[in-house]
Amino acid sequence: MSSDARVIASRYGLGETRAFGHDDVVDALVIGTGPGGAPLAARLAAAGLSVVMLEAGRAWDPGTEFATDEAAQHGLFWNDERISAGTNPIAFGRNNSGYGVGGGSLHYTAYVPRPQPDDFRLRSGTGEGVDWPIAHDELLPYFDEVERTIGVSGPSPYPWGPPRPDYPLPPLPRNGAAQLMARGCDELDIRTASAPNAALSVPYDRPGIGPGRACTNRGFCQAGCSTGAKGSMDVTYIPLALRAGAELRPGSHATLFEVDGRGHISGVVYSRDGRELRQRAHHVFLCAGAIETPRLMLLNRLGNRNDQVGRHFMAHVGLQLWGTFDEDVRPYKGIPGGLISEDTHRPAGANFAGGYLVQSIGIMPVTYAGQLARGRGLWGPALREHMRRYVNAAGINVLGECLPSPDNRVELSGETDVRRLPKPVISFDAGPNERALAAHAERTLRAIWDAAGARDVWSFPRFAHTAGTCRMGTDRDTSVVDADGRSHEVPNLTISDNSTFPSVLAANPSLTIMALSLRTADRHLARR
Amino acid sequence: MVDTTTARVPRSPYATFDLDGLLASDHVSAATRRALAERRAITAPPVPRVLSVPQMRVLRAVAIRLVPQDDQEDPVDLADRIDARLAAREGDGWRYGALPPDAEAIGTAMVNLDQSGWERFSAGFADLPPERQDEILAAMQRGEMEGQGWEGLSPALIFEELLVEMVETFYAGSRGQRDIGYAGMADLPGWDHIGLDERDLREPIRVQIDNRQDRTGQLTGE
Ligand SMILES: Cc1cc2nc3c(=O)[nH]c(=O)nc-3n(C[C@H](O)[C@H](O)[C@H](O)COP(=O)(O)OP(=O)(O)OC[C@H]3O[C@@H](n4cnc5c(N)ncnc54)[C@H](O)[C@@H]3O)c2cc1C
Ligand code: SF4
Repeated sequence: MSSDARVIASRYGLGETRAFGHDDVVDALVIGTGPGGAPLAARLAAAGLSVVMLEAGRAWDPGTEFATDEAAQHGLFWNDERISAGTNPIAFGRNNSGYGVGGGSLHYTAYVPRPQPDDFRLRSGTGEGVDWPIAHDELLPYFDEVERTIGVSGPSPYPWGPPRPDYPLPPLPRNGAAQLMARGCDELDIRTASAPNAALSVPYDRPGIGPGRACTNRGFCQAGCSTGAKGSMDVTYIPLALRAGAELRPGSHATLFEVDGRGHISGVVYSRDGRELRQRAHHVFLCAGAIETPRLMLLNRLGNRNDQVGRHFMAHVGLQLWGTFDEDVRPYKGIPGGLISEDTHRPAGANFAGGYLVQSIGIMPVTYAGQLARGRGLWGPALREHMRRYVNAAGINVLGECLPSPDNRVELSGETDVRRLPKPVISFDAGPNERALAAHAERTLRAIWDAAGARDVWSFPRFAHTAGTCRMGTDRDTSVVDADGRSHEVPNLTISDNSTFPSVLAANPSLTIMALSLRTADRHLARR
Repeated sequence: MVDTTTARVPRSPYATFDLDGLLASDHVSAATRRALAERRAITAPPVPRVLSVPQMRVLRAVAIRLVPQDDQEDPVDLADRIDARLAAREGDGWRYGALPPDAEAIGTAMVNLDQSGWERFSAGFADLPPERQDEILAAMQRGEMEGQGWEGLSPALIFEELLVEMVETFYAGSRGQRDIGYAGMADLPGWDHIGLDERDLREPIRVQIDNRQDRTGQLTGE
């Protein structure tokens, strides 16, 4: 074993892991180890393919390295500068990115409701947006599998959507914000349920992976879970992949794709510890997330003859509402997203297409203070005094539809980063549908928080999650990949991450990204 | 020096919170304790790294108005933390397309604020009385700044960015945490009481305090 392989083996508690040579032509080179890359790598390796995973960030040891400290955990986010333009500039860094083995799953809050069937048929159902080239039904077995593998806790039966199997684990306990949202919704006859979360409510043996500890209610999911209770990729699909014989190379930043005379990618150049290395591969799986994936394609002028790469950037309408309560909430405890309502999935009489879900949210103090400053512009003694009510603060949040527009897009700027590569510019203008949905959502949230007894209520308009920039479709002129994630132009390139979503779905993305990742792997295997 | 006799931040209701005791306890992991201790040990160098001495003087004056710490015995040098970050060429992953890169935006804004001080009140920003500084800062927040220096440099966005960074820096440290009764770092082995009005014993409680203050900013209370 190389010394690298030894470090990885000990980090993931494995006896021995495989290592490939740079001149080996591996079957699958996977770039990025978030929810898009990790499940696929595990599946391909299990089928006997030779798999190498390149990950720009490092392999953390959560047990000893993760501090319960927001600023110290800054390194979990993609902090290379992105330039945010348009009338609704999107915040990145802590708001929208992942860096490290596990990608964005290292800091996701693990809220994993399933999308509903009509989310995949937005165009047929509403006349707006586009339909997915995949039916909801086709993803069902994959949803089941992912939920069992990472360990999802949730209510059974689940009140919304088509019948589904019981969640593998019972729901997590409710924190203050979840209780308050239940109180407000009860008053207004809005149905609520404990939210499905990929965090273990009781100890659980993850199939093929091993025992995981129960969540200790430390509420810190957004800055890394130190207990392993959260179903992030680094404690689930990455060990699965390694056990099946995949090789993991952390700290490896892909920059250049070499293309042969036939238009196939023959090798990928990446930098590691300041050195330039090159890996040959039969097939490349690009799973770098909805900004870096199109950025790499644009940098390499790859698969973009139809000028679709980077277009149709979408983000969930993610409006938050905050209030101060008489009770102590202590919003740093418990699984942050404890409660859910999908009663607004398709609100009656709405003047917009699609809908949204409502979730209760916990928050850590630095994030709260930053939002207070940005959202309310409070400063001086007023800010210091407001912060002394942090312990009494509770929030609710929506995640709602966002229609694709070709002008909302990722492009390359004239400025370069530390690697001398052009920084990405992301332009985003919320359209009339997003504005109408946000206004409806704000009215709903205000009614709920009024009924729950909130005072000093303020909203924080926000867009969360990034999608759509290499979307899948059957029309080769208006999409980048097909339903199996394969590039329309480059025969041995497949994309598997949030960028292939044709629409954002009224649900958090990761469960669908993981399900699609497994499906993409199965489709690839079926073709061989 | 800016006059601190106009101190207006009252005493914290968590005045009895023994954060140091909590940090030393088994409830805090080694990684967490290390992170907080390292942050607390930072001291500013005599000369700034990226900003000029005059720019730094304005930034320090701005920090005192945006995140006043007159109730703190040992305030955090928020301006120095910004300069240190610029020197390390670190960022938070994004910036407004309407602004130039951070070092340029902040440096120019400080020069412009000084200029505004001279134009409006015949003194540099850092030498103005706090009320005047607040007036200028409020105008900056509203985006109502005049002068060539602000061309291509949205005053409101720079104000927002500076405010957010200073506020986040203050509440990332022990002083800010103690002030708001935050005990979330003490999460070992876990939290048992997470519902409304429930408290694990190691979490602080609010106390009634008397916030009359004398001219020197000394606190009388309890
Ligand atoms: C604070 C926060 C909370 C969230 N909460 C939830 C939630 O509760 N539920 C939910 O479903 N979703 C949540 N999300 C969203 C979720 O994290 C993302 O949707 C998801 O991680 C996207 O997966 P991905 O595989 O597309 O990309 P990522 O997870 O971003 O993975 C991409 C990976 O590729 C690596 N990479 C990028 N470029 C290169 C390169 N050139 N070379 C090598 N490697 C590279 C990156 O380092 C990264 O590890 C949250 C996001 C944030 C920011
Ligand atoms: S709340 Fe649970 S899942 Fe989240 S970080 Fe803490 S232990 Fe992990």
